[in-house]
Amino acid sequence: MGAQETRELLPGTLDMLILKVLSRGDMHGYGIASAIQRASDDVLGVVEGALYPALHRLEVRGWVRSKWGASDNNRRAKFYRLSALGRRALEEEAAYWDRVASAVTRVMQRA
Amino acid sequence: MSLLRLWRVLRRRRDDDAILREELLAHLQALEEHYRAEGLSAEAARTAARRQFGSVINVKEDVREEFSFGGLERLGQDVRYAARTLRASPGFTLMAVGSLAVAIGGSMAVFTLLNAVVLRSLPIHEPDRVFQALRASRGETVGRLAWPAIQRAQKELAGRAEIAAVSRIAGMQLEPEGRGAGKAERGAVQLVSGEYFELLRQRPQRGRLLTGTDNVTVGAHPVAVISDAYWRRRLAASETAVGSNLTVNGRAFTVMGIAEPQFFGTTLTLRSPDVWIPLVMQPTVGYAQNASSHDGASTRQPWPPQETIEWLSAFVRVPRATDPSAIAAALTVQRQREAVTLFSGDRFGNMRDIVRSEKILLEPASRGLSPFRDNTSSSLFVLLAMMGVLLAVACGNVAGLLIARASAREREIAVRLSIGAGRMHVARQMLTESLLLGAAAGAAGVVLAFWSRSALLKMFAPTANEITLDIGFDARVFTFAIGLSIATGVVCGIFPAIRATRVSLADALKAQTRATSGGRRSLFVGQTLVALQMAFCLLALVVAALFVRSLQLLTSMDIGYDREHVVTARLDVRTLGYTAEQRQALYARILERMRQIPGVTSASLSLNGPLAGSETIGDFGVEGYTPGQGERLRSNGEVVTEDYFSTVGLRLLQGRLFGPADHAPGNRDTIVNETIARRFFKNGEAIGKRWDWGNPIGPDGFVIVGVVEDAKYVDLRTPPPNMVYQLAAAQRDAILSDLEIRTAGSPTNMTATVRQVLAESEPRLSVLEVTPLSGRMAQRVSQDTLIARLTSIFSAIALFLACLGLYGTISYGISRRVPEIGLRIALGADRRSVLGLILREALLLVSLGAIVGVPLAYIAGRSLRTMLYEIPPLDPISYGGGAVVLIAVSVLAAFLPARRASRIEPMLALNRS
Repeated sequence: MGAQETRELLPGTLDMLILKVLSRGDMHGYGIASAIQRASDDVLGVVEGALYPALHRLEVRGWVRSKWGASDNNRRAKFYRLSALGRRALEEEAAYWDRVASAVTRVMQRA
Repeated sequence: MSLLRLWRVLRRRRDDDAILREELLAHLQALEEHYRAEGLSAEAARTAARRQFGSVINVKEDVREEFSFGGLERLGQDVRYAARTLRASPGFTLMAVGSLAVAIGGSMAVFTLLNAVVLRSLPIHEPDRVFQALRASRGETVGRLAWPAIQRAQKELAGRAEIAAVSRIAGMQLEPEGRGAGKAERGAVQLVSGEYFELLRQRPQRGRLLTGTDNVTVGAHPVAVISDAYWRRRLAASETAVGSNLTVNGRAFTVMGIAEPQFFGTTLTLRSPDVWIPLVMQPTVGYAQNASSHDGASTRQPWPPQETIEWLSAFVRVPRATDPSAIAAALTVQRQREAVTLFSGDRFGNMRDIVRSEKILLEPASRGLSPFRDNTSSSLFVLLAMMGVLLAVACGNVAGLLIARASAREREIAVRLSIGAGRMHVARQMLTESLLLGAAAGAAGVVLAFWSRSALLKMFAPTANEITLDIGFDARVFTFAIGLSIATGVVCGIFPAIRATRVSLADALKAQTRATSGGRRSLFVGQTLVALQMAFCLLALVVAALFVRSLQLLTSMDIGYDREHVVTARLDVRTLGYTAEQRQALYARILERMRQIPGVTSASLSLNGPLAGSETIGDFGVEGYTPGQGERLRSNGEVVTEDYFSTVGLRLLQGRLFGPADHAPGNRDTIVNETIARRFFKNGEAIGKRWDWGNPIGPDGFVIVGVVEDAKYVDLRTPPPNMVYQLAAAQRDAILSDLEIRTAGSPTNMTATVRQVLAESEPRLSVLEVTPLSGRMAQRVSQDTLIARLTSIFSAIALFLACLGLYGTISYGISRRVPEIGLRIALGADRRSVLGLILREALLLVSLGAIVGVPLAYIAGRSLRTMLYEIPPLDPISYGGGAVVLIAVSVLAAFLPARRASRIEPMLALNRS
């Protein structure tokens, strides 16, 4: 059970990943964590201790909204939804990430 | 933006906790199901989920952190978080708060007494301008002055400074008007000069206070001022108290006024005065305490007019603009001048020499005079230091536990750091936790101190039956308590907090097992703490041992008397108002009745009696001995009935004892003690020689007819003083106030009978105390007993706490080394050698501590020198004993975890790694 070799996220990227996952539909906390892990082919793991603080941080900024609903197995869960403000933020973050990531890649290839 | 944020935060706050909790629990459940789906058992799935998730509380806290907006909110949050963490481990919290509270409460109780006795100023106007006039000569200072000398000083300083005089506080029989006859009670009376209340700027709450005109003619001013406490207690705050009659030692006085409630006089004592009367009334009430008399003095004549009876303390109030040393200088000059004119001629040779060699000093008296303070302050300081040691040891334990817990929480701390909590913030939170511990312990300590302070005071005054000393908590006590609590919190928490900020994120998060990088370091810190605790313990143990050994020597010394078979009683015959003849008849009656008691072999009466705490000292001269330059001959004088020596068990060494032939009034035959015989006469030539009070020896000087063995008299620590015994029958007007009875059996069983027979012989006689001589001896060493007992108890508590610390550290060390020990056993190490290995390590820690403790103990012992009786500060038995106890007890404490280590199953242990 203890053999998950997952990496910590780069600082600052968690918010963006959460927004990205939510852009495909409303989701509860556990779902977000699983989605990130799945989509990264188990390379990126989200520490629960970081996920919820991030979610609530986003909520305070007004980038996500939350409401209670029923999960797949019909349990009460808190669903998060991307707000218009969040959607705009995601675009900005993604654009910024692209610039940074391609810059990093260029450095890694040339140097 | 920030307003919007504030609004959102506030809105969130409302539904806060429950929702957050539900959300997190839902996540936990989902995780659990995930693991179940992977094929784990229900139990294992739950554990795995929990582990991955971390403590729910901690995650929740981090979420909250996102909503904080600094300042007070933060602080409140830190405190709430700390409180929750402490609540989560009640065992740890209880143990930490409990041990700290005992130490803080104890310190506070001692400090409360110290504050009341040593620190507090008198509740009077400008107490810092009030001084006591002292006479300093040849390195000795005396406070006693004669009334005429004080009167002259008043004239000398008129307009520059004020002077007032007070006697000691004396126990007298008080009988307020309106009580039935024979209802007299013992009360505290002080004789004062008329200027006393004026100098202290006191106002009456009713009637008037004493003034200069109340203190003019000897015996002619039967007026009194009573204290507020006495007015309320004994006169039921009666409206008609002023002007009423008050009988003092059988003489009628009129109550002129009542002092203000907060005024308790100028003596800081357990029992402050109930009544103040003019000092010219000394002969009327028969006050006879604490006087030194010189050439030509007659203690049986009224004292106030006599130049050579010194019995008063003088207070001087110096105006703010005046330098007290200038006043002192003026007084010195005046006294030097007087010495020549007043004490001219041979008759006053002694007195002249004394006065001429003197300087007058003004010593600050803002805290009042206090024999009680002089007796107890060093004990109180020792106790406070002892409490400090106890507190240090308790802090060591709590710090050790906090560190151990912090390293167990390392992963949690790392998570918090990694999601952006500042290191300062984490450190601050840990410090908040220990400060909260300190505050809780401080609060519990206040309660403890509140309950224990009067018990502690009672320990210092086991014989006092009514204590009026105010030991309330004031601002100073509370400041002390708060300061101590904060210091405790900081000392306990600073190491764990600093360590917490050094957590290595990568290591902590990577590590799957609990044994993380911090483990070794925290073990080292823990070991250092234990060694320090042991050092403090050794200090405490050695100090306790020094006091115990000193007490042993004090109680086992040869006091001269036969302490196993003597009962003593303290009488006050003055209050009966008898003539000399009536008193002689009473003495005879008492002795006769005592001898008739079955089991009593002999009985005697004396002026002061053995170890009774009072003494009569005078200057004296001895035939054939010329005092050296500046040498002052003084002797204790005792007046005894015929059977005194056989009753108290003093052997005759030379000559003869008193016999019937000596009973004639005016007979001059006397007995001296061994010390006088040895000091002033060559090889046994004392018999037949003459001596006299004052110098030179008059034609009717006393004759030495016998020499008896030495005995301790008032003080056990000093060698027996010079002692002359006069026969009571030849001193017809002597006031005898001590009764001694020799019993065949146990003296303890005899006290009730003695009391009863005394009441039968004279129903009105006031009997102050009936106790075996051994009881008096115990009273003389009561301070020593108390301090020996308390230091022993507190060093035992400190040792117990330190052993808990040792136990914890050893156990922690072993838990980290389970694989290593398992390997050793697997490789054939025998279990006893494992036991030895662990014990050797414990012993090393304790020995390191002891080595640090020895110089500490030496420093402490040296500063206690004056309190120790014939024990050097480097007493090997005390140090050896302390070290043996320390090592034996701590090895015992280390034995339990060591034995557990030796029983480790190698296979299990190796599997764990």
